[in-house]
Amino acid sequence: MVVGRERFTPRADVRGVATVVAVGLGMLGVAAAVVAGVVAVLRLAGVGA
Amino acid sequence: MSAVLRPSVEDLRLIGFYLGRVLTGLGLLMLVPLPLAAVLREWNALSALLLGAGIALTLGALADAHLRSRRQLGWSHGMVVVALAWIVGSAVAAVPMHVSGRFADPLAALFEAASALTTTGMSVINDLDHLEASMNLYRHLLQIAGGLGILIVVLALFSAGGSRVSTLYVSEARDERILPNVLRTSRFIARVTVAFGVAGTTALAVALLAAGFGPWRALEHAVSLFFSSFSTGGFSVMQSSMIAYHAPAVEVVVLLIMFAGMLSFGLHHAVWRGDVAEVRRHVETRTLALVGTSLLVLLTVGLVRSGTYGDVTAILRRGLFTLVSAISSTGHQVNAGDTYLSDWGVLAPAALVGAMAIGGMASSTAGGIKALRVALAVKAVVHDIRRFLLPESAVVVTTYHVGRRRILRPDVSRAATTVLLLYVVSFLLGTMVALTYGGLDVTQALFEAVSVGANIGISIGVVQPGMPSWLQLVYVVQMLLGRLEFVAVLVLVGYLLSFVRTPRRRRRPS
Amino acid sequence: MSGAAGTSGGAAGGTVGPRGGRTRWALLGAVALLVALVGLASALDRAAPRAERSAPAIADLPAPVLDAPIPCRRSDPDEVVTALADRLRPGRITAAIVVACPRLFDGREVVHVGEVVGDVLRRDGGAWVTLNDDPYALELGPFGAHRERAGFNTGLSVWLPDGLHEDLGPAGRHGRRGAVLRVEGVLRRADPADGGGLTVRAVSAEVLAPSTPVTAPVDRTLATAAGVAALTAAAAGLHARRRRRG
Repeated sequence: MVVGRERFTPRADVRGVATVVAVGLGMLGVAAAVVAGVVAVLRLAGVGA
Repeated sequence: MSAVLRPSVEDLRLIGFYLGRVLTGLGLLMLVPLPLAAVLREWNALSALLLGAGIALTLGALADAHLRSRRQLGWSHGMVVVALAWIVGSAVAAVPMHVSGRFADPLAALFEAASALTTTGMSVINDLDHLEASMNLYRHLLQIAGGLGILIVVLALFSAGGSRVSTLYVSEARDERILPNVLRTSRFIARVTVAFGVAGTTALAVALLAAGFGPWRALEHAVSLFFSSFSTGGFSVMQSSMIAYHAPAVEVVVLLIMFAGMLSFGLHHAVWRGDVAEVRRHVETRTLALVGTSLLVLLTVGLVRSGTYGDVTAILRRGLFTLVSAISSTGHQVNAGDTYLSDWGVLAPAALVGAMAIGGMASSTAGGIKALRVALAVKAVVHDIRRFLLPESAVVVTTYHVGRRRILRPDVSRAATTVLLLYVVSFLLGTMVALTYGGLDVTQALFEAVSVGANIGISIGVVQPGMPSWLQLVYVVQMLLGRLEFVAVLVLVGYLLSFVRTPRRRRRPS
Repeated sequence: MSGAAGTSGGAAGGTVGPRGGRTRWALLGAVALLVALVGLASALDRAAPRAERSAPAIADLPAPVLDAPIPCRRSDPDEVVTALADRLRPGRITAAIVVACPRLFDGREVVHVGEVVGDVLRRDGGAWVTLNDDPYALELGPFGAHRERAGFNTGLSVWLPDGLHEDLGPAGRHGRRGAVLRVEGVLRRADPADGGGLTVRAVSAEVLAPSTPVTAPVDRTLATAAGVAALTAAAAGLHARRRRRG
């Protein structure tokens, strides 16, 4: 990784943070779906209280 | 070719000079909470911090005055400076803590300081809930300093070593000149940190106000939480860590900040450049997505099957949060540590141990073995299996994507697996030592050893004030080895051993 | 580095000169310095003024339900947990007892006594508080005024509905011991209203000791040492600047 040769603008900062936040939220959404799915399957199988 | 030649006085001078710079930085950091201490009339905290700053700045100034050298800082010097920066830095950073009286003995103060600087986040402090705000700010500042420091080191120094570096940081430039690299890298890291700092602290403050905090406390918590989450350190303002907030909004913001902190800075750089596709292609993103999802499934099954939590919300707010805290190596907790043992069954804590061991991405503040090494080790194994299965004349090529498509070379995969094994050795060593004390369960011993050795900071209850001293010392060593990814410490040990070795004849480099 | 001789690190056949002695002295000096640091810090810690405990005057503090926490696991059969329940005395729970076996107390009516620390989070028809039941809360008072070390803080999250949280005063933090509260309520191991958190949902709350400011005596020895260190640093800084110029 060659770092630091570019000049970044504040717009890049905003875009960078927003992108990371978006990716993070996306991953949280996927995680929530995974958990919901697993819980549903387990309930069907009669596992857990 | 050996990495270490017997160092001369000139080498020591150079190392001492740069170490002095690090101590100056540490001293300046200790001055930051002073105005807060004065305003809040925390006179003893003010004295403690001023004492520490005075000592650090004195040492730094003396080094500056008497150890100046025109020589270039080479790679092995850099490694030794790094190792000493964390070791000596912890010792000096421990001074204000020790004089505050809140630590059982000097070793405990060293533990806390090392835990801060290595962004582990385990604490042995007495009565955190009544700690001075300035001292708490100091603890959190150490975390962000340690986190950013290791970032600079990893990006500028480790990667400059090229293929001979057993830590395996893929680098474009075989750059012999360390300092220009450091300066360039620091600027970018500062930029990203400030950007997330502004966004993160604001979001946290808003969420905390909504949760019922007063404005000053919201600010205090917001700043502290940002420092400890972005650095993936895990210290908290209150002993109850994240339990104290009772606010999903705060937890979500912290999750996002932890996520940002565990992302490789190479990825941050790509994102800043607008190359979002790199996020998708990067081998570490894929590894963590796969590993994270698998562990999440295991965790969920474990929690439901043992009857710990039955509803999705609880599993997300307690299970997923803790999993992300573990993978990112932050260490924030939403459960009392003892309940992992008493209330989480067996599978769920095991999933956590796996998450802690694997850790986050390379070139980030995260700890653990690192997703990159895990990916490369797995690819290496698959590669070898394929070679066995295919006819002898077949050419097997394995590739991975970091910035661009790269071929998995034997020296690279060897380096990955070596360090991976060193981490595992560290985990096992910590476990064994803990077990020798008796009264501890294997789960507790293993959990804590992995948490410490991977610089996570989630505690199952072994680490506490008054814990056995030998175990505490082993944990300090584990923390430092883990943070420095073994290499820097090995170079330092090599230097020290060279003084013990009797000079038989001059060694010529091969 | 990769085959490059003569770059740095004293390459090309080692170095010359009587370095053995000088480098050894340098290393010993560094170690001595670190030892001196530890010694200084320890001496200052011991020289700190020992003040009185600021123990809250609590009349009739109930005894804990158990003499010591009894651990259990999720995998333990129900009979084991029921047998534990029979060993409970009337009294108050503590965080340590509960987290050792949360199952035992799930859904039970409990009494909890503790110091309000951190923040009173008022919202949604009530307030969240953290009640600490460690020695600092109930016996010694906050660290700072006294210097007795008694381990971590331990406590539980308590939900106080409107009507129970209005007279708590400022919560405990540095320089203040928060109100000591006696609450009765139901313990929930995985409270749905808290996303699965371990909470006590209070139905009554009584202030046993009010929120009180606590002052820590100023450590004059430490202040003096700090002053000396600051002056030394300033002098060293000037010295360094002069050498840089010269």
